[in-house]
Amino acid sequence: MEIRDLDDPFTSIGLWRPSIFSILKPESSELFTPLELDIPSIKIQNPYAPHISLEDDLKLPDLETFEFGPLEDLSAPEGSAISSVSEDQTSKDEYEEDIWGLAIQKDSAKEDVKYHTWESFLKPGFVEPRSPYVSEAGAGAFDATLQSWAEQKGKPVDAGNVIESTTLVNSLFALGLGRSSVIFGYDVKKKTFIQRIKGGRMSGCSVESSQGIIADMTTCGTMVARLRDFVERTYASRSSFPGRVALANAVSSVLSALEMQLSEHRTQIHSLLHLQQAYSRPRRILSELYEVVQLMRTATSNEEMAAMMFKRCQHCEQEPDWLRFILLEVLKRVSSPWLELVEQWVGFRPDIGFTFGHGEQGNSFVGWENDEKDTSTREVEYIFRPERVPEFISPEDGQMMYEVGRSLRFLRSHHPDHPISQQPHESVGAPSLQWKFSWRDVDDVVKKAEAYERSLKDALNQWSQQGEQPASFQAEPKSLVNIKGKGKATMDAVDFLQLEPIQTFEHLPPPVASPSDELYGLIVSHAQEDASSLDSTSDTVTFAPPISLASLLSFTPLLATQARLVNAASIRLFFRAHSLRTHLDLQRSFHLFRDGVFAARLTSALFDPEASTTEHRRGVLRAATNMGLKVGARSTWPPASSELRLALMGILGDCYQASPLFRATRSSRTTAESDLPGNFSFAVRNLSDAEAEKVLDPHSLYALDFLRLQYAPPSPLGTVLTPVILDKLDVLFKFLLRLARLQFVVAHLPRHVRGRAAQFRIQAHHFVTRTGSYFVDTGVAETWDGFAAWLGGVESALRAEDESGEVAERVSEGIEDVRRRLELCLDRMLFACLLRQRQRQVMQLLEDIYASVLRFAQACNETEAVGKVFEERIGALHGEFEGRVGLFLEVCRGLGASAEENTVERLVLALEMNGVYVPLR
Amino acid sequence: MPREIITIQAGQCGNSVGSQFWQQLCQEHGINQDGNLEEFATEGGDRKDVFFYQSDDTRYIPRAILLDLEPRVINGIQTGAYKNIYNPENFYVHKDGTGAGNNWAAGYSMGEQVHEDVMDMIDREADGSDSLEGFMMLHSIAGGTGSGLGSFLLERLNDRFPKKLIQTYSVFPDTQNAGDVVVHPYNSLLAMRRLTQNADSVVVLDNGALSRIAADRLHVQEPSFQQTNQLVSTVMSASTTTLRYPGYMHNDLVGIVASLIPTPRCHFLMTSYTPFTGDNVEQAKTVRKTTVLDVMRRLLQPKNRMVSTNPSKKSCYISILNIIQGEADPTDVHKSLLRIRERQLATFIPWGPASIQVALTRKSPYIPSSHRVSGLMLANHTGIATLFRRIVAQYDRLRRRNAFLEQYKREAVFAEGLGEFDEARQVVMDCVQEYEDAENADYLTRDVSGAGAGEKGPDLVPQV
Repeated sequence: MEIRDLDDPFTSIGLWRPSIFSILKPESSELFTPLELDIPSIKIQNPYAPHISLEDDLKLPDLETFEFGPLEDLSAPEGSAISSVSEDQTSKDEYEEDIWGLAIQKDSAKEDVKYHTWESFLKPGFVEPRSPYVSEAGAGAFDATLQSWAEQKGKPVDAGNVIESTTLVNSLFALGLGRSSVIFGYDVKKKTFIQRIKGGRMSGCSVESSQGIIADMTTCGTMVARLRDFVERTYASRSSFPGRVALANAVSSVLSALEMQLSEHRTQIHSLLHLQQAYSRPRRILSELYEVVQLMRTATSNEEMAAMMFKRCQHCEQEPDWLRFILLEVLKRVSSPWLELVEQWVGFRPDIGFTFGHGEQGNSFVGWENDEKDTSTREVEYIFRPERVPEFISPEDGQMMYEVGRSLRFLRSHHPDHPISQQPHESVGAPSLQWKFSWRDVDDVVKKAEAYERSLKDALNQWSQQGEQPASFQAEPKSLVNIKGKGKATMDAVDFLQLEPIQTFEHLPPPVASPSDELYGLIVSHAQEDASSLDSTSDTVTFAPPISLASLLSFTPLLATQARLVNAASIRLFFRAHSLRTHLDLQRSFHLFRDGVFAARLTSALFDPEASTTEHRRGVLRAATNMGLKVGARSTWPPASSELRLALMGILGDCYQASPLFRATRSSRTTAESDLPGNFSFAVRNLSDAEAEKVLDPHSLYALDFLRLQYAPPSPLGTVLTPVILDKLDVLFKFLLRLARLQFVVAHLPRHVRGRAAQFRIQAHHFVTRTGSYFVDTGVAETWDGFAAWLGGVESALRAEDESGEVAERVSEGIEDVRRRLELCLDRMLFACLLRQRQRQVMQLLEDIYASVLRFAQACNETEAVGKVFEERIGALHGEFEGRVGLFLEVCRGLGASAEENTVERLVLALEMNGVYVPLR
Repeated sequence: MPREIITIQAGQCGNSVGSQFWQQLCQEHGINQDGNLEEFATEGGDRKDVFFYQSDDTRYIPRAILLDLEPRVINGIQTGAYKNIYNPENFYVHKDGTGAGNNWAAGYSMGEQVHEDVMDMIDREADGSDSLEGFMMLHSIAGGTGSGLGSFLLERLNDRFPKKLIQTYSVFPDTQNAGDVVVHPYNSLLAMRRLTQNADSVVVLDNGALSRIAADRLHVQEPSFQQTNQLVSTVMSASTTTLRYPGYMHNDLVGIVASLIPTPRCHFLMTSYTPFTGDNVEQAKTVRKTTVLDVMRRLLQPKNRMVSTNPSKKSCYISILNIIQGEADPTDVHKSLLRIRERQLATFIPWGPASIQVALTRKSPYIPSSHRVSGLMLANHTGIATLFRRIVAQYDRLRRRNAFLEQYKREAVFAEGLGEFDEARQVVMDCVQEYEDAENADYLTRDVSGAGAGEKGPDLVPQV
C-alpha cells in the first residue's frame, strides 16, 4: 500500500487492487472490535454485582437478531405505585438538573485550596507577586480598600454596608417581582418599596453601582406592586367598565407571566449582573404597561381606552418587536369590549338584549334622542355621536358603522322575517371584528368578508325567491340549528370527559394560565433576550402593515360588506314596502308647491277677494262653497281657526286624490281613502312673541306665517324625513307661501292706473314675477329635479339588480345616503332662495321690497285711488321701492360675481334685459 | 275653485278653429270622442275643469258655446267625430240660417235678435262654474258673423260680467294679398273698435302670416283653411297649457294677462310657435334640432310670428312670455337668455323693466311628440300697430270711394249715418298712437290727462 494511493484517491493506477480499507481488517466482519470483558476484575471491583451470568448481562445485544417488542418475562418492580408525577415530567426534571452548577457549588466550598504557579514548583520560597490592580485582588480587597478610604477623614467616600450577596440577590429578585423581603419592605403609604439597610451594597461593588441597581429594581418592584394594586382595585370597583377590566386582565396576565418566566430563570441568577440582565426586558414591559395604566386612569369609556391604547401602540411602532407584540396584544384585549359593542350594533354578534344608548352603553357612539317627552313613541330615534368613535376608526367608517346599525334596527323592527334581521349565527358565518397586524391576516379578513357576503346573498336571494313570505327564512330551522349546535358541543364535551383518563385531574394544573392566552405565551417566550425565537411571528415582523393602518385593514372590509348588504336590503324596503318615493314626492307637491292645482287652490282660498267670506257674521249664513279667507280684502285679522278650517277644507285631500301619486299608491294603501300619507294637513305654526306680533297685521308680508303644513312621517320613514329636514321644508313652505301671495297681489293690482302708480304697478309686477319664477324654477324645481333624477337612478339600478339576481352590485347607497342627499338638496334650495342664515341681510332687503309692494296694493285698494294724497303716498312708496330694488340688484350682482356655483346671476338677468336698472355708483 | 273659462265660438272661422281646439284638448287630456276618460289616462295632475265640466254621467263636456248665423260649419261639428262631447244646448244657429253675408253690420244687428237666447246660454254656463275666471272668444274679424256678432257679444259680456276677463283669439284678414272678402277693411275696423274697447287681451292671428307659415312649413302653395286653423288651435292649446297643467306661476288667466299687458290699452298680443312639424300639421316633416336656445331664438324671428308687421327701428317688445314644453331646465333657459341678450335679438321698451319670462310646463303625456322641446311665444310688441295702420289705410281707400256702403247703410247701426265708421277709425288710431307712444321713454311719465278715449271702463274698483 503506497502512500500515493492515499494521496490521490482519484488515480486509476492499480484500480484492480482491493481498497486499503479491505486490507486493514480483512479478518473482521464487524465494524467494532468485540467486547472483551475482564470479568474477574469486574467481579473484584464490584463485589455486590450479581454473580450469575455477568457475562451475558453485560454483553451488547445481537443487533442482527434484535427485535422490538415486549420484553418477555419482565416482572413489575416491587413497590411501584401510581405516581402523581408523570414519567415524562420526572425524566425532564432529571434531565434539567444542573449538574455543573452542583459541581461548582461543591468546589467553591473548598476555599482554602491553594493555587500554585509553575514558579513555585521551580523555586522553593517563591512568593507570588501581587497584582497591582485592585480589580484583580478580589472582592475582599475592594471592600477593604473602600473601608480604609472611608475611614480616612475628609474623603467623601461611603463604604456602605456590605450585604451578603446571595441574600441581596434573592432580595432584589423578590423586589423585582414586587415582593417584600428582609432588605426591602413595601411602604403602603408611599406606595413604594424602601430599603431597610441604608447604603447596602454587594461585596465587590461600590455603593453607587449597587444602589443604582437597587434603585432600578425598586422602581420595577414598585411598578409591579402598583399594577397589582390597579388590578385589584379594578376588580373590586363597582364603577369599572369592561374596557378597564380588560386592561386589568391583561395586566394581571402580564404580571403572572412575568413572574412565571422569571421564576424559571431564578436559579441562573447569582450576581447583580445576572439580575440586571434577567430583568431588563421585564422592566421595559412593566414600565410600558405602567405608563399605559397611568394614561388610562382618566379614561371613562371603552372606546376612550381603546383609542388611547391604539395611540400608545402607534408610538411603539419603532420599538423592538417583542415589546410591540405585547402592546398590540394588550390593545386587542383592551379594545375588545368596544369591538364587541360594535359587533352587536352592526349585527355580527347577537344582540344580548340591552338597548343601545342606555345605561352602560350610554357613553357609546350611538345614543338616542334625549326627548323624554316622547317616550311614548315606540320608535327609537338613534343619534350618532361622532365624538365617541375612537380615533382609529376613520370618520367615514364611524358614520358607516352607525348607519349600518340603524338600518339594521329598522330591518329588525319592521321586517323581522328578513334574513338580515336574524340574529347572526354561524350558519351565515357572521364574522367578528378583530385586530390584525400582518398582511396574511388582513388577507384572511378580506376572504372572510367575501365568504360572509356570499352566504348572506344566498340567503337574500332565497328569501326574495320565496316571495318575501313572512317567517320564511328558516326562522324555525335556525333556532333548531342553534340548539343542535349547542347540544352537539355539550355532547362532545361529555365524550371528551369520558375519553380522557380520570387521572388527568389528579395532575397539577399546567403552569400556564390558559392555553389560549396569547399574551401569556408572548411574555413567556419573549421576556428574555436569549429567547430570540421570533420565527413563528416572522411574517408579522417583516413588512407588517403600519399600525396606523391596522384598524382600517382589520375592520373596514367587514364593515363595508355589512354596510353594503344592509343598505341594499333596507333601501329596497324603504322604496318598496314603505313607499319612500311617494312620501318624498308628496313633500315636493305640497311643501314645495310642485302641485299647481294645490298652489292655485290654496292661493284662491286664501286671497281671492271674490270668494265668499269665511267670517262669521251675525245673521248671515255662510255660503257652503267657494269660501276664502280673503287676505288683503278684509279688516279682521287673524282669522279664527274655524275660518281656516272652512277655507282650507278639502284642498289637500282633493289635490292628493287628483294627483298621479294617488294612483301610484292606490295598491299599497291601507289607511282610509281620505287619509293622506303621513296625515298631511294644515296646521298653525308655533310662533315666538315677536313673530306673533307680525302676524297680526293682515297687510304685512308675515300675515300668513302662522300657516304651515303638518306632516308626520310614518314609522320607518322618519329616518329619512327627519325633523331637521321637515324644518327646512317648513322654512321653504313659509317662503313660497309669502311669494304666492305676492304673485296673487301683483296679478290683481288695478290695471287702469296712470302716472306714478302705473310705473309702480309695472315695476312691482315685474319684480315679483321674475323673483318668483327664479325662486321656484331655479331655486326649487331644478334643485329637486336633480335629487329626483338621482332617486330615479337608484330605483332603476335596484330594479336592474333584482332582474339579474344581484345584491349590492350596482347600488351601494343606503338610506342614510338618501337622507343626506335630501338634506343637501334642501340646503341648496335654501341657499338659492336666499334663506340661509348668512344671507339674512339680502333676504331682509327682499322682504322690505315685498312689503312695499303689499303696502302699495293696500293703498290702491283702500282709498279712492285718485287725488293728491294718493299720488303723494304712492310717490313716497315708489321712491322707497325703487331705491331698494336698485340696491337689491346691486347686491345680487355682487353675489353673482363672488361665489361660484351661484345662480343669482340668473335672477339678475331675469330682472332686467333692457338696462333699465343702471348699476349704482 | 278651478278658475273656469267659457269659450265662445262665433262664425265659421271661430267654430272651425274651435272644433280643432276641442279635439286637441281632448287628445291632450285623454278624453275620448264621447267625453269619457280613456283607459290610459291615469297620469293626473292636469286640470280639466278649467275648460270642461263633468256631466252627471261623469263625461267631460266643453264649456263652449257655439254660435253661427248659418248652419254649415256647425252642422259639420254636429256630425263630426267629436259631436258627442258638446252640450247640445250650447249650439246656437240662427233659425233663418242665412248668415251675415260678410257684413259686420248684419252680424251686429242679428246680435240684437239672438241676444236673449245667447245670453241665456252664457248665463247658464257662468252659473255652472264655481269661480269663473273669464271668457275666451274665437272668431275672425273679416267676415260678418264672427266680426259683427262677436263685436256685439263683446259689448254685452263687458256689461254683464264687468269683472271677468275677456280674451279673444281673433283671426285678422290677410292685409297684404287680396282676400275673398272685399269689405274686410270695413268689418275689421268696426270689430277692432270692440277689441280695443271691450276685450282685456286679444291674441292676433293674421291670416296672411298663417298662410305664409303654413306654406313655408308645409311646403304647399295654397294652404287650406283647415291647415291654417290647425295652426291656430295649436297656438290656443299651447297658450292655455299653463292653465291646464298648472304650476306655481302663471296658473290663471289673470296672471298671464297681467304679465303680458302692463298698460291695459296695449293688449294686442302676437304669437310664434315652433316647431311646426308632423306632430302639429300633417305634411311637415322637417328635421330640426330642438334645443331650448334654438326654440327661443326661433320664437323671436319675425318670420315665425303669426302676424305680418312692418316694424320700424323703434319697435320694441313690451313683454314676452315664452311657454316652453318638454325637456327644458332653468339652466338651458338661462343660457339662452344670455345668448339672446348678447346678440340683441330682442329690443325692449325703454320705460320700464322688461325681460323674457319663461314658463316651463308639462307636456301632455298622451300625445307622443318627436320634439324634445317646443315653445310658444306670447308677445306684446309695438310693431303690431303697423298691422292696424294697414287696416286703417285699406279702410281709408275703400271709404274714399264710398265703395260697398249700401249694404251697411241698410242695417240699424248705420241707420243714422256712418258715424260709427268714424268713431271706430278714431278708436283704432288712438290705439295705434298708444303703441307708438309706448316706444318712447317718457310713455308713462308724459301728460297723464290725455287718457285714451273709451277703452274698457276704468277699472279702479279695488280688486285685492
